Parts: sequence; C-alpha cells; structure tokens
Amino acid sequence: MYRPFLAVLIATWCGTAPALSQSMSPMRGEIRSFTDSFAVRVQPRNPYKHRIDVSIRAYDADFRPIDARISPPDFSLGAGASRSVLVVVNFNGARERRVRICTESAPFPGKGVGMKAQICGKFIAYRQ
Amino acid sequence: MKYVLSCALLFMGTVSSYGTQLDIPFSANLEESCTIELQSDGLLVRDGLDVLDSAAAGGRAGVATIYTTGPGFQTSLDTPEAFLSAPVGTGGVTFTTTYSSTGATTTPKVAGSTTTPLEVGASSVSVDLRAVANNAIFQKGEYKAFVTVTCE
Repeated sequence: MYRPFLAVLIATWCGTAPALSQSMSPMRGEIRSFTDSFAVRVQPRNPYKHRIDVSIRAYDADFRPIDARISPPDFSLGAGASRSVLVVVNFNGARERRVRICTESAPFPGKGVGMKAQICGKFIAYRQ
Repeated sequence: MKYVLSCALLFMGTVSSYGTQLDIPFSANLEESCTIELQSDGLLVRDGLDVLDSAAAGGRAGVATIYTTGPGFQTSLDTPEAFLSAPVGTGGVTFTTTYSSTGATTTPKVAGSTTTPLEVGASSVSVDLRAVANNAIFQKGEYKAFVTVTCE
C-alpha cells in the first residue's frame, strides 16, 4: 500500500536533492519517477522585511493551470523566512511532462495598481 | 651555556607554533535563482472620462526589482482581465500593460506580454497599466487591479 508513496518520495529526493542546498527556489529541475506521478520540492523564500501571503501553483508548459497536490498551497511567510513545499503531479499516462511551479505573492495591498510577484521554476519529469 | 639554552627554547617554541597552524576551508556552491522584490505599487489617474492610466500626469508606475544569479531567466507581465474591486456598475474594461527596465537588463518600453531575457544581476522594472472603459465612463470610487510580474 505504501510502495507508490515511497517510490514518489524516493523519486523526489533523487530528482531535487541538489535544490535543497539552495536557499531560493523555484529553479530548474529534472525528475525521474518510477510511478504514475512525480514530486518536486520547492523552497519559497520571503525577501521582504514584513510578513507576506504566498501561494504555490502548478502550470503546464503553456501556462495553463494543472491538477497537482500541493502541500501546503497557501501559507504565510515571515520576514526573511522560507519553507519547503511538496508538489506532486500525475503523468496522466505520458512518459514525459514539462511543468512550471510558481511561487506567487502580493505583498502590497492598497489602491490603484497592485503588483504581484510570480517566480516560476521549470521542471521536466520522465517516467522510467 | 645560558645563551644556547635560550636559543634552543626559542627554536622549540617556534616549531611548536608552526605545528598549530591550520587552514579552514570556505566554499560555496550557488545555484541559479530569481528573486522579485516589489518596490512600490502603481497609481492610476484619470486620462479622460473613460481612461485610467498610470502613465498619465499625476500617475505612478509600479516598480519591481528582479535579481537573477544565473543566465536563462526571462520576465514578462500578466495583464489583468478585470478590476479586483471597482464601484458598482462599472462595466467592461480593456487593460493594457507596458514595462521598461534599467540596471542589469536595459529595455525600452514594451508591451507587457513581451518576453525579455534577463541579464545576471539586478534589473529594475517599471510597470504601467492603462484601463479603457468599454463604451462608458469611469465613475467616482476606488479601483484596484493587479499586474503580475513573472520571472521564469
């Protein structure tokens, strides 16, 4: 019962282990998975001196939203803080999938033209 | 004899201090990254009855700084499709965005959908938004729209 989950975890570790040494993400990445899903771990960081709300979203290569299990998808980050987020995406039968995983934030609520920051990492996943 | 003993002690002390020297290595292995810092919101002002424009007199562009530590990143804007908030009765609106960049990446004013490759370093991006009411005028009240700055 736990084998698929374990395989996803191993694939996650193998595919994104170098990224853990990085204090800022998303980034580029290549993932190899033995199951019908793959996982990417990203590390959003708040560069501001105040708390911000952050959302993690997944898109395909054409920037269309895709189904993904994101843990957690929305959260709050303190000044200078970062946290790890796990994103699991299905191959949907394909042998290769290109996805964007984006960190989105809007730290300045106010009137007029608000600005949102969207930082997107590009990932290619291969099913073995 | 006393002189010889002093020399021997001095020599031993010198040898002993050589033996305690140690080089402490420091290293770093940095990966490419992109950080967006939103510096300031923009301000829309009236530019005629049916136009709100941050580039008009009295308006203010939004500013973001993008820091990249490696090649291959690019930026563009996502133009809003509607106001996040607007007075009741506000009808359809057509939005356009433009941006320019200075610093590591220098770009003249281009349409928001234009993708610009980012040079390594800090690039300051100035963002303008223009809203045109479709066959209507903008009535008094508060308007709010979001422009998304993307680095990928």
